[in-house]
This record gives sequence, structure tokens and C-alpha cells, in this order.
Amino acid sequence: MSYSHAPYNKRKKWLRMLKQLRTNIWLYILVVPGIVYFLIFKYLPMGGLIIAFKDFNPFLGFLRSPWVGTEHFARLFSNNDFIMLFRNTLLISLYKIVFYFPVPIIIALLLNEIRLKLFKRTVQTLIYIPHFFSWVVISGIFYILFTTEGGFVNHLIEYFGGSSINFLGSKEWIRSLLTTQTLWRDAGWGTILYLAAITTIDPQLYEAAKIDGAGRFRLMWHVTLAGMRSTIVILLILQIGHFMDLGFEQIYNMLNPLNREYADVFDTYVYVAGIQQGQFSYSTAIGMFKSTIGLILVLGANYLVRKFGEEGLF
Amino acid sequence: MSIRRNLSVLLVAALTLVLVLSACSGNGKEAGNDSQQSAKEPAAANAAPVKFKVMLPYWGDMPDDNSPFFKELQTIMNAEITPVFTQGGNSYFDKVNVLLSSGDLPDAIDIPMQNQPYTINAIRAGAFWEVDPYLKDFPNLLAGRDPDRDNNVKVDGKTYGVYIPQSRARQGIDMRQDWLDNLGLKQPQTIDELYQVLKAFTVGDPDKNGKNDTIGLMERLGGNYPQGFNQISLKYGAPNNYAMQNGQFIPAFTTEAYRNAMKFYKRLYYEGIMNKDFAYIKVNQADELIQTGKAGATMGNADNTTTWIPLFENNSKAKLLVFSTLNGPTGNHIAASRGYFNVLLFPRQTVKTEQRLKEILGALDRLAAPDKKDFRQFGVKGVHYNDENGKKTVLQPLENQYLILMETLAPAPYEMPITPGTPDYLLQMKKVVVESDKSKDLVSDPTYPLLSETYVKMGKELDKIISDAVIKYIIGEIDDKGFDSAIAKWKSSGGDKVIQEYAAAYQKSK
Repeated sequence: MSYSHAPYNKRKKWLRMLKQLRTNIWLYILVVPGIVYFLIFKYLPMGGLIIAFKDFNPFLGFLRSPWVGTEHFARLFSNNDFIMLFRNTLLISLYKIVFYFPVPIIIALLLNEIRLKLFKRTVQTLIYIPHFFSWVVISGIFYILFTTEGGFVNHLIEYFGGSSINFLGSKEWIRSLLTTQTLWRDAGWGTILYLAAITTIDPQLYEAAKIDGAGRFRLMWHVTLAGMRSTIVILLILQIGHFMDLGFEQIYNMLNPLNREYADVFDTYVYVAGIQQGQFSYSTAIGMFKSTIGLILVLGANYLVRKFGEEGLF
Repeated sequence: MSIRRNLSVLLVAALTLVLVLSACSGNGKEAGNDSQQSAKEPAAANAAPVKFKVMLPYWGDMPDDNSPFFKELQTIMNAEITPVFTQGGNSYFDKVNVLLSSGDLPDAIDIPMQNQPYTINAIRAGAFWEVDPYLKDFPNLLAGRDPDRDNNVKVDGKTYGVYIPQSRARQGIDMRQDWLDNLGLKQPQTIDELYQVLKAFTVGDPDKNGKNDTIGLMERLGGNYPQGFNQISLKYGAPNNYAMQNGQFIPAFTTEAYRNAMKFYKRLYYEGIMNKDFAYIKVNQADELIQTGKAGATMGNADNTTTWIPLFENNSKAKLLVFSTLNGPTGNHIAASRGYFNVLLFPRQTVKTEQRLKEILGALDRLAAPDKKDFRQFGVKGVHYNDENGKKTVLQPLENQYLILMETLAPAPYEMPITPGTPDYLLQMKKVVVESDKSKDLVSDPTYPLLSETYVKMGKELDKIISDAVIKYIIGEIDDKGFDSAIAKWKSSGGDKVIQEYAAAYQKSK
């Protein structure tokens, strides 16, 4: 039976696909630019990763540069500062996940409870604005606020009888400052996806819950938050995937000799050791190391999430 | 079902986000791409104008390639230049670096500090023309050279670029003469007197406003060190980066004199004589300390006009004192630089033939001609100045951006333009810089003409170990022991190899 049916089924499947393609042809055409974009800008450049294993010289090109095996990786792992860089990267990322990640969720929940539309919109717009500040500007603002030479915060501390704190020039404060900056700049912007997720929750669920006697807090907890759950999980996985990329600009602008020990991360190290010295192969090796860790983290997080019965990325 | 819908909404939202973001970031990268072809001037010479594209840094305002000055420049050079003006400073280094790796090069490229690792790598890969064999045909270009600078510009014993000479020493101390007068003090002659003056600037109410609101020294980081640190360390008798004894190279930071300079700074820091946020203060805020009359002195480049000019423009009572002579335990020492900052290099990829190289060198030669000195210093006759029987009157001072353009493009012998009617403070700055160029107290860096593979590969990382330690020492985070361990770290991270390679390179060059 199965013997005689197999080719028939296969053909039928093909036909069905073709038919589907024909009816939805415009949708598929719409997808094409996106696919081309990813191929050209995301997949094609991956070929460049071979220079991590070569001694790349731009004037010899990708193919003619000599192979050196894993020399660049060995240089990275045997670097005196490797442990420091790794520790700083992990800790700053951890700070971001623990202190930053939940904040947009809370803000989105709070915004959702606001009845007055005009007020809600105004607040939303206002908290989006910091996102459009460049890190250079933000580090300038932080300098003016936190410097020991007449900075606002230290003025305040002295006014209330404390002694001024060297926020910007000490390693103890730098990670908190970085987290604060991220919070100030991106917490509002981060609510967009959550607010979008909230709009998809079926209003009937709220009605049903109300009939069951749920108050506002219960509605928030059992309906809104529950409805956002899959979004939260996916964003968490993505965030974990970016564990090793902290963004160069923010940290570079805050970095100085006095806090480097606690804030120098792979991104800033690559700039000094790689870009400024024209060591492209070494930079690529560092990038590849970072991406590999990121990939492992994403896959790991995804696996765990699925194990707990949530829908993961894939 | 609801999860599906959730996801699709999420995707749409994410997509919008990406679109918004990409729209926002789209307009940030158009620097230096406005090379409108200026209307063709009828060429004076018989030959057709040489067309070439050159990448140049600028500071402050960008030169306008439609201005009378630029048109005259093209006529003099008999060239049609497509300039790619790019903001100077650290970002310029990065852009050159990326440009070199992309391979999309102009015909000539102005590289500041040619001996940076990435340029060396490109030169060694054969990216640029060696210019030595061709220069003999260009007398004006040869006139701009001298053996000292020639020696510094060489890479592996060969010359790859046409450098634009500058003073060998720009370092100096700029301070408020009116503050000295108010306090009845004179120009400091020794390091100790300098300390006394800076201290008096801090506690003696030099601005006579009855408030204790001034500091002696404005300090910020320049090249990872406090701006004046190199200068002070030399005054104490430390070598300029390296000392050479019997073919062995001794890094400056291992010397006693260097440590004395750190102690000097530590004292300024602890007594509040300089701003305590020097390690992270931004350039603009640091300059404001001078411009608002809060700080009385700087120790960086003596002709640091951007820091000082706004003060004199706003405060007519302010007067300036500039000097570079200060006696330490072993007399006065001034760090000699390479004697040039900008070097023009010609990529083989775009300048394909010898003929073409000679054409471009010819255009530069015409600009460096002795009879074009007035143009280089004053601007266009009839627009910027008038000349009646050798007596020059300035109609309109040549804008700063064009003076800078000449400093990046005209390989004429080092000359400091002094236009009639220049304010006193600018004259003083220029005078010190010109005098320093010929000073007998210049101390050169024996490694200028030498190369170390390890330094090319990881010099910036190594430098950072020491510069970080210096700053930590100044603010008291580490002591002598801590500094010793920083030196040990420098040595074990590759510093030992650097020293050995310099010694080997020196033996080879002898």
C-alpha cells in the first residue's frame, strides 16, 4: 500500500505547495527583499570569519593572506587581562539582566493601567525621548551630574552633610553608573514591545476574570502578565544572546584609567587592541569568540525555556 | 492561537523598530563627501591640470572648496583637487585605518603620525609608493626636508611619504600674566618656582574677586597621560620615551626622574592645585576652566589656541605668558617630536604609474615654491592682503581652516605665519614654538627611526598599562610598589621584547 502511494503523495504535496505559492505569490515576493537583505548583509560577511585563522593583510586580500591557525585565539586566552575582561563583561551583562530587564515590563504594566488616554500617550512619548540621545551626550550629562568638581549630585551630598564621592573616577561605582544610564535611556523604549503584546490580549479574558471576582491587581497578575509571558520569554532569550555585546559606545565614553579595571570589556578591548592597531585578524578572533559564547547562551536558554513548557525561539 | 498572534504582533513591532532605527542612523555618515567639482579655472600653465583626490584632516571649520583661497590653491598647483576633508583627531585615525583595510583609497592620503602601527603594516605590505627616487626632480619638496626629520620618517630605511614640517617642539606652559602681576610674582624659572606660582594661583585669590574660587592648573588627559606630564618628566631629567645607553634602551618610566614627575603631579592633586577630575574631564569642560577664568595655567601645546582664544576675546584684562624654559635638577630639557605631524602618502592602488606619481608630486612642488610663501601665510592677494612695495596690509585675516589646510598639504620648509596685526597672545605662542624648534635643549627619542614588531602589534595595549598606572599613582590609588608591579606587567606583557627589538633594530641601522 505505502509502496504504491508514496510517489503519488509526494507529487500531491508538491502540487499543493505550488498552488499555495501561486495564490500567495505577492506575499512571497514581499518576503524576498528581507531574505536578500539577510543573505547579503548577514550571511555573506560570515565568510570573512576565515581571517580569524589567518594573518590578514588588506593588501593581500582574504585569500592570499597566510594561515596561522588558532594563534589569535591563543593570544586572546593567554592575555594577562583576559580574566578581567571576561569577568567585567559577565558582571555588567548580569547587572543589565537583573536590574534593567524587569523595568520595561513593570512600566508597561503600569502604563496599561492608566485610564486617561492623553496622559498615557504623553507619558509614553516622554519616556521614549532619552532613547534618542547619543551615548556621548549621556556621558556628558553624567559628567556634569556626578563630577567631584561642582557636580550636582555631590553638591547635594555635601549639602546634607556627607562627603563627596568620586563616582566617575572610581572603579566601585562604574557598573552601577552604566546600569543607571541604560535604565534612563532605554527603559521607556523597551516598553514598546510589551505594550504591543498587551494589545493582543483578548478583552473577553478580562471580562471573564471580572465576573469571577478579580480585582485590578488580580487582573494584572493573572491576565495581563500571563498574556505577556511568551513575549517576555522571547525577549529574555534575545537579551541573553547579547550577553557578550555590551555596546562599545556607552562604555567607551565612560571609561577612564581609574575605572578600567572594572569596566573594560571585550568591545572596548577590541577597539584598542584591534582597530587602533590595525590587527584585523585578532579583532575577528575576539568577535568570533564572543559570538560563539552568545550562540551557546541562546541555545541553552532556549532549551531551558522549552523544557519549562514555554514556546522558545525555535 | 493567541501565541501565534502575539508573535506576529511582536514581529511587526520589531520590524517597525528596526525601520525607525535604521532611518535614524542613516544620516550620520556623510562626513567629507561633498566634493562638488568646482568650476574649472582656466589653467595658467600649458599643461592640463592634474586631477587628484586627496584625503585631509581638518580641525574646527571645514575648508570650503569653492572659496577664493581654494580656487587660487588649485591655480597655483595647476590641479583639480577633489578633497575629502575628514574631522581630525582620534576618529581620523580610525577612518584612515578602515580606509586602508577597505582598499578604496584616494590618490593621496594625509596620514598623521605615519609611524602608527596600522600605517606601518600597510607600508610593509607595499601599499604605498616609495618617494625617495623621485624627489630629486622637485627642488621645492627637497627644500622642505632636513636630515633629522628624514631620519624620523623612514620605515625600514626607506621614505614613503612627503611630510609637512612642523616645529620639533610645541610643548610649553601657558599662564595668566595678569594673575602673576596681581600677586606680584614673576615667570617661574625652576620646577619649584612653578609649584609656588600654581599654589599662589590656587590660594592667593589671583583674580582679586575676594573669593577662593581659582585653581592653578587646568589638567586633562591628552593621549592617555595628563597633558603636561611628559613635559614635566623631561624637566626632571627623564628621557623622551627612551634613553639609549651602550645600545640598550631604557624606558623613561623606569627612571627616578619620571617618578619625581609623578610625585610633583601627586602633590598638585592632593593640594587641590589642579582639577581633581582630570582623569575623566571632557575636553570642552576642561577648556571652560581656562575660558571662565577658573584656572590659571595649562601645560600642553604652547600654541593651544582653541583653549585660550575665547578667554582673551571675552576678557580684555587677561594677559598671557608663554614659555617652555624651566630648569630642573639637570637643567632645561624640551621633548623633541618627530618634527612633522602630517605625511602625504600615495597608494599604489590608485596612483598606478610613475608618471602619475610625478604629476601629483609636481603639483605639491608648485605649492611649496618659495615665491608662494605669501599665499601660504596670508592668503589670496587682493582678498586677504595687499602688498605695496613689500609692505603688507591685511584686508582680512586668512581663516584658521586654511592655515590648517596649508599645514596638512604644503610641504614647504617649516615657517610660522605671523600676520601683521596678530594679537600679542598669539604672537607669544608662536614665538615659543618657533624658538623651541631650534632650541639646544631638545631631547629626541632614539626610537623614532626604529621599529619594533611587538610594538606595532600591541603597542597601544602596552602603553595603556603604564599610562593607567601613572594616573593611579597621581591620585594615590597605587604607591611605588604598585607602580613597580605595573612596570613588571609591562615587561612581561611584551615590553621586554619591545626593548630587545629596538636594540636589535639599532644595531642593524648602525
